Amino acid sequence: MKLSDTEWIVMNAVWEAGEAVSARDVLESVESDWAYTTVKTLLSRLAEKGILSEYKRANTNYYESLVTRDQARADALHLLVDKAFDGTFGSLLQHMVSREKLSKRDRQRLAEMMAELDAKKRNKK
Amino acid sequence: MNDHTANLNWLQSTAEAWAGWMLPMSIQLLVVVGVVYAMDSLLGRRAWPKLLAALWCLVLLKLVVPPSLSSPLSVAQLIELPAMEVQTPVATPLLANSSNSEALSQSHVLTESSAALRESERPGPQSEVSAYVVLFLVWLIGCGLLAVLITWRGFRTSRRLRSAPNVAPPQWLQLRYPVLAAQVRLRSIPRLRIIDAAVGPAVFGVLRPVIVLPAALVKTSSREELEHVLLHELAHIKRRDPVWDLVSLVLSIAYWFHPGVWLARRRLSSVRELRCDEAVMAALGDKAQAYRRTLLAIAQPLWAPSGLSFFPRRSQLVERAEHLACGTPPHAIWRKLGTATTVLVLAICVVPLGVDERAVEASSRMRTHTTSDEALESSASRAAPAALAEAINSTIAAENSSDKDNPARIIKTQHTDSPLAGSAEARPVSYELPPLDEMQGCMQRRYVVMAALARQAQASQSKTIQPNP
Repeated sequence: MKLSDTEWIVMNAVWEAGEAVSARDVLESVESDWAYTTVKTLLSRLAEKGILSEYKRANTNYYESLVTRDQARADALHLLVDKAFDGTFGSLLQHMVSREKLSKRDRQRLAEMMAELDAKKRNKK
Repeated sequence: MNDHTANLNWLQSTAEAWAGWMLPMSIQLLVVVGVVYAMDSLLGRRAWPKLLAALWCLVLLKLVVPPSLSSPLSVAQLIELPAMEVQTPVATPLLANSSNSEALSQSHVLTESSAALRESERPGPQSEVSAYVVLFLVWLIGCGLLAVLITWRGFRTSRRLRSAPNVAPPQWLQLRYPVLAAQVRLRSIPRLRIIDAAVGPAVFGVLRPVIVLPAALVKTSSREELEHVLLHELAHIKRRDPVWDLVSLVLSIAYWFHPGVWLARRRLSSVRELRCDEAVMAALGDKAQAYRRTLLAIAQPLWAPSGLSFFPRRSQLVERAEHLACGTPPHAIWRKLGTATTVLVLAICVVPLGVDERAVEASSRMRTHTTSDEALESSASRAAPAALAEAINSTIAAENSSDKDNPARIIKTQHTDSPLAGSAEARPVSYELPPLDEMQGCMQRRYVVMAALARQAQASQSKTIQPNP
């Protein structure tokens, strides 16, 4: 799943809202001088790609995300850390996270932690 | 030719000095790293990051402390570490004048180092010095290659970062960034660059660090996630981690051959991340748990499939996430005291692993004497026996001149009533020496060596030996 820069801006606004949004909602939250029609077009395109679901309510189109931010981010960030910057051998970069080889057990543990945190977040809402 | 010899001598002495540091240090480092690693493993999640950082910093401290440093409370007093002493050329007799035909007391003579004998054939000690020179040169080349490689990679990284196109930060970030810097109590605001390049969120630079964010991360992250990332990087700058990383890197180059040093560096790097995570948690207060989710979410695309690792270790990410799950530690004062106490105890008991020199000399004297006795007896058998007397006279003169009230003074008596009396040079002499137990340290050592030489001289000269009164 590949998103353009403008599509990312729209999707971020949808994810930040955490619920179904209209074109007007997105226009108000993004920091850009887009026109209303531009936002509407972007939302429709994302719906066609299967990233958003679209439905009508009281003569207004609402859009909801069908993918999580993490899922969308995975594709964008999988090349994030270039091997040249790998900190295992002398690099002076202080990475926040670096590419790491994980055992099956560690991957499971991390996935469990993510699921646990997501569940807590949903319960809070 | 003189310059060449001088250079060789300098190289030899430098290599010996280097070996005198590195050889015992290599053994002692194994002990220190082993103790720290054992404590780290045993404590596990119970260890707070500050304690872990302090423990591993002790390894760095050990690297700069002389291996001869000793402490009465050190564990070295309990365990016998391999001496790994550098064997320098032992005392050899002077062989200058072979015209002197004085008789020697059988077991009471002394000798001293000889330039003449060094020019003659020499046993074991010379080949050991050569090995030190080889080791020293290998070490030097290793340091050089590693330094060049790391410097080249640093320049390459710097060039790529400089040439990467800048992306303007979103307006909200420009307003929020100074607030985040204030949250981690930074006095000056470091530069922030958002670049369109494949690089992780990182701090780059030592003297004037810069925070680098990839445009892809800014694009795909929520505001809360970006703030967490920036807080983490700002915490690195607040803690001066780039400086500490440079220090540990320089030390790692100097000890490039020692796996314990690389283990310590890797572990310190992990612990630094834990400490920054802790700082972010403290800055976020009751919203701290959201940081844990940010960490996992940002790291998720970077989980590589499992593979063989030279140093199998637990996942740094798992460790960080589990530490974050514990939340902000309570009872900070007790943790500070615990850290200080633990570090102090280890600094006194584990870091100084040198042994008292006098004790080493006393315990190894017989081993050294055996080696030197054999070496010198072997040398003496090839040298002119009569010239031993010259060496003895010189030694006696030197010892006597140093302290006239010294009870260990040697008294030389030239016998005029001997049947061998003739010219002054031919009259036999005897040497009255004090009892062995009144002679200490190097004098005792020379005493034993000379006794061996005297036996050799006696066998070859077949002169009357004056018994010891």
